[in-house]
Amino acid sequence: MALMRPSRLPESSRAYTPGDPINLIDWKAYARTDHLLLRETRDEATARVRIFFDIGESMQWPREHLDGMTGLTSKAEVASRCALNLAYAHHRLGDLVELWPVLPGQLQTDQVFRPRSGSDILSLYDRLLQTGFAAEEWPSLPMSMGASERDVDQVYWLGDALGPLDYLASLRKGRLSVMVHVLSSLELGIDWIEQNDCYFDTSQMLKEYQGFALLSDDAYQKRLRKWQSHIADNLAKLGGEYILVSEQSSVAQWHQFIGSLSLKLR
Amino acid sequence: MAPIYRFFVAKAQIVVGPAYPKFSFIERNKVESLNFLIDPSLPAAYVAALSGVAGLIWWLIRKRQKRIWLPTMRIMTLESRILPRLVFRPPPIMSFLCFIFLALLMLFFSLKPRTQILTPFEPNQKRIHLFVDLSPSLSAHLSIEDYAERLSQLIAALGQVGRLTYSTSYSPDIYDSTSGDDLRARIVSLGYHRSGIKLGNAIKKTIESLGEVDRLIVASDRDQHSWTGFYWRYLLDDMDVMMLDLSQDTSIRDNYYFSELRFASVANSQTMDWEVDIARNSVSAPASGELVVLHQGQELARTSWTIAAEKSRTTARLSWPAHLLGNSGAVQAGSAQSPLLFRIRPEASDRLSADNEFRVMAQGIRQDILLIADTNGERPLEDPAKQLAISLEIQGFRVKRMDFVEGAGPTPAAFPFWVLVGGMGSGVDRFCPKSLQNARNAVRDSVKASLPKVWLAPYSVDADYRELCQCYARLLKVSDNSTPEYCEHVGSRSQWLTLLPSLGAKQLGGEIGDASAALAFRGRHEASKLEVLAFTVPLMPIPGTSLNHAQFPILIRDILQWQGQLAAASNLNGAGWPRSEDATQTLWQPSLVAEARTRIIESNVPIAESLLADTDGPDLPPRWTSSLDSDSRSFPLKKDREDPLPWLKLIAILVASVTILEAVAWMWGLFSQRFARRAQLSVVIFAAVFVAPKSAQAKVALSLLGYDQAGLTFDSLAREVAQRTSIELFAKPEQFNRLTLEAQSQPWLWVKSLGLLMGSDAKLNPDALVWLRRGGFLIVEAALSDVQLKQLAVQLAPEAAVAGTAFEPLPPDHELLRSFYLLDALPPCNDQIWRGLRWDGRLAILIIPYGLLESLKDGGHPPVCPNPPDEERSLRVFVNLVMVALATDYKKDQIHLPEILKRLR
Repeated sequence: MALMRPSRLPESSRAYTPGDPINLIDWKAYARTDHLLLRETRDEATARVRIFFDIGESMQWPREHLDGMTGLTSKAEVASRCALNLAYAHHRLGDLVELWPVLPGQLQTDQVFRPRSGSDILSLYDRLLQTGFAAEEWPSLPMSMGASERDVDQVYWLGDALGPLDYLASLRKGRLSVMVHVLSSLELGIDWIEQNDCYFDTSQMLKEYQGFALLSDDAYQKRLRKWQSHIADNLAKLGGEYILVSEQSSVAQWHQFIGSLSLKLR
Repeated sequence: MAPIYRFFVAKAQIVVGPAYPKFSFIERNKVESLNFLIDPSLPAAYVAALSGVAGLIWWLIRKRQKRIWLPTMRIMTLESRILPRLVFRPPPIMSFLCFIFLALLMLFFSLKPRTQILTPFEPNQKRIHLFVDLSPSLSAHLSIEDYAERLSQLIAALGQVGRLTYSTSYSPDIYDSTSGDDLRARIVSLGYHRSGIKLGNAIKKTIESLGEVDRLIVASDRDQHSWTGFYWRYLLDDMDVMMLDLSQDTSIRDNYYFSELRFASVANSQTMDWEVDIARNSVSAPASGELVVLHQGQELARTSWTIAAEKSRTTARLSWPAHLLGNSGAVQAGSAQSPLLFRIRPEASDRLSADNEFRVMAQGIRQDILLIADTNGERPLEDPAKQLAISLEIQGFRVKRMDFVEGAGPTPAAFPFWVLVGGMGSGVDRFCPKSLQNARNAVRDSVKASLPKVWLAPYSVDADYRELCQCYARLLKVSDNSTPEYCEHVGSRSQWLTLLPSLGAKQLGGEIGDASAALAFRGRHEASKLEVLAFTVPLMPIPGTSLNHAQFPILIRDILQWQGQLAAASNLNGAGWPRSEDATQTLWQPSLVAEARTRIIESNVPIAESLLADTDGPDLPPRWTSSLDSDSRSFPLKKDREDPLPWLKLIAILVASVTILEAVAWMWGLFSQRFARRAQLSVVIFAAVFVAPKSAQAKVALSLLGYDQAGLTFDSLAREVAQRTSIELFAKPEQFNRLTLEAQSQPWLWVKSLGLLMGSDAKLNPDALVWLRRGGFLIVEAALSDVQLKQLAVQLAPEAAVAGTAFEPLPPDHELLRSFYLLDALPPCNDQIWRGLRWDGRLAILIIPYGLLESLKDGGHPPVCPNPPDEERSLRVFVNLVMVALATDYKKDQIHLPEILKRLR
């Protein structure tokens, strides 16, 4: 239990740059010097890490939704793989990790998976791999109720930000927050769509466009970029990180990202 | 004529099928019968339109390409929305086909096929219809040949203008006019009919079966009877209406006609007497003539009649011996079915000859009855059948009496109705004829014959019922002379009563399931139709059956009527040959049997036609002028176009509603986009847009209980309150005389005495108590004693009442003294002070020791006190009171503090 209560030791001080968490500002030093200094601390024991990863309806796309295309990887699979990877990385660092899957049709996350060892995560990975990362697999896992509303040290959100859940609200619960924006490469580039086909959305907005409307004047890409920057801005306001991941992102890029996070965290 | 299939869809006319196929090998009449017009009703048009729209939508949906789910569409806000937000899902093909099939089926069933359209569809030609009135009043103006000639002239003139059809008042049949000769021949062969005609009904039916017509010409006279009820102007929307006026010499209107005929014979009379009222139209000179009555061509009687000068009617009487129409043999069988024909022959000229004949049913014709009954003595009172014979005779029957049967008895055909009275113990052969049994046996297996109806009655209550049973069996059951075994045991009436139902006879009279009071039983032989009515009581007035001399003939008449041997009373007055007022109700009926049609064709001319009264000129359509070069511009113009205003309105409403819907959808989209992740919040915000805040009103009315003052107003008080505060007081108080529901909904109540709130047990009314507990504020304008106050308080606040602290003087810091004006004290009166009952943290009951309202009302006077408060003081107290009543101690609420402090500074 003593490990659960972190004792913080000062590690270093540096000048404040916009975007840094305000609670790290050394106010006494500010009083003395009139300079905003960050007093970065390090948890001696463990950090609490919460990983939300969306495997809801829109994340199941594009598997089984596009005829004529084979070998498609759903966004849910990408998000699951990344989430497990993150969990494993944090667990190796000795952090307490909670995996919060956002299941299809769910309007709030309450089921949580708490791996107690690295082998837990690995066996989960094996199991998901066998079932093709199906969302139906999750309810059969030994999950516990995640009713804890306590703030955690680090929150990840892995998802396409299209589901019904408010990712920002979840991210706000952490002192540090990371948004791993998972999109399909088919969503990022739409050179595959047909002029005369209709493309629709199943949510309550019921939007529907024809292919030529999306292709003309690069309308789709413009809107997509605007949306991404909007999410990134939101994260920046929280003092969080934003990274866009698709199934075609390189593993090296991902490892670099994880490495930078660890550096930043420690 | 070429057959053609026409469909009318709303106003559009669509020709289906080959335009004019040649059917030269088919006879013309058959071709005509092939033509039909389908005239759908409005719902059918709607169904067709909806089916069309459904088909179009379906086609559009099927036309569209694949629909592919792309989640990122959720964030797309492209400027040009190519498709509406509504998502059309292609319907399952089977369901859709079922829908289309049902829609077409509905369309099919809502179509009404019509026949007899002889005018082919030729949009460029005018369709003219000629209606020929052949009612009897026209014969007063011109002969049928002249009439036909006029019509053929008209056709010749019209033939060049357009295509012509015509119909007559004889039937709803519509004929295509090819030439005037054709028409002339038809009209002459038809002649005038005797029924009257109502042009309105006739033309309505004609147009229904005719379809669309551009011009309607009515050939008729100006007879009032024909034109009454014909509002021809309503047709002007669809067609021109014109009249070919055939009236001539309307000044001379001498016409003689039958006004009324009455059968005047008394019952059992040996003559047939009739009274005939003859009337005429003109009342100038005396007139005379002859009246003849004929029956089956044979003259029965003849008389002359005279109508005096200045008189319009006279009564002629006719009489002839009854045997002329009876069973004398001079007239043929079935004479009762053929009518009497009355005919007048006036000496002066008569305009209308059709109404000089009048037919009525022959009346007073007698039927023969064979009565077989022993006399049982010399005196009439001892004769068991005397009363029966008299009762039958007064019903118009001719009774032939036999004391006993000789041999086999008379042949059944000699009498249609037999009455057998027996049971005297002298043997069944004496009263029960074998001839009936023989006749029944003869027809048992062969052709059905009509055998007479038989009544079988005991001669007295103590009759030998075994004989009656034997006779009954002889008539209906056994075929030889044997006596059935079941009759051997019949010794009394009760045994006879129990036996008859088991022989299959139906009970007449008495109670259901209790045959003891039965009057008779009816048995019937199926093959021969021989019907025996076996009476269980003697047919005579005797005390044992409680039949008296007055009831007996009525009973006999009722049984005769029930058995169908006597016509019901309502059939006696010549019905069957009525005056036929409207041919469309009679002649035009397609389901008429031949006999009824004959009667209607020979029906009597209605009096209204005989009167030859003209309707006024302005009520008639424009006349057709016979000149051939008459300009069509002189015709009244029909409305060529439909009024577009309703359609424009409909379009405007549609556009407006679509715009509103679009705006609502747009706003919803805006909100749900912005608050997409907070659906409930967005619904609330969205709904808030449409909820207009109600303007807050501070209005209060004085509610007075038991004041009972008519014309009580508070104009000046209301004005003062409105000027001083932001509260509006109604000048007219709401007065109640008891604690109604409406009174209970008021925030405050003023009373002068507690009587109206108290029950009989000196306790507060439960309603009043509930009202007080719920927040009511009661103001009592009376000085109450301590006992009364305690009684009042103990019900609302028992603890305080026991402690004696319920009604206390209002302290100087009470809200009533500072809620608006800061008062130093409340004015006392006659050493009585203001008291208040505090309950639930508020002032619930206030006792004012004097009439405050009395001093504040319009034209009020100060209270009767040693030192009455001045008006300003009363006013201030009242304003404070209003404040307390509406807002209680509102200054306690901290929210008012800044405003109060600001004012204090």
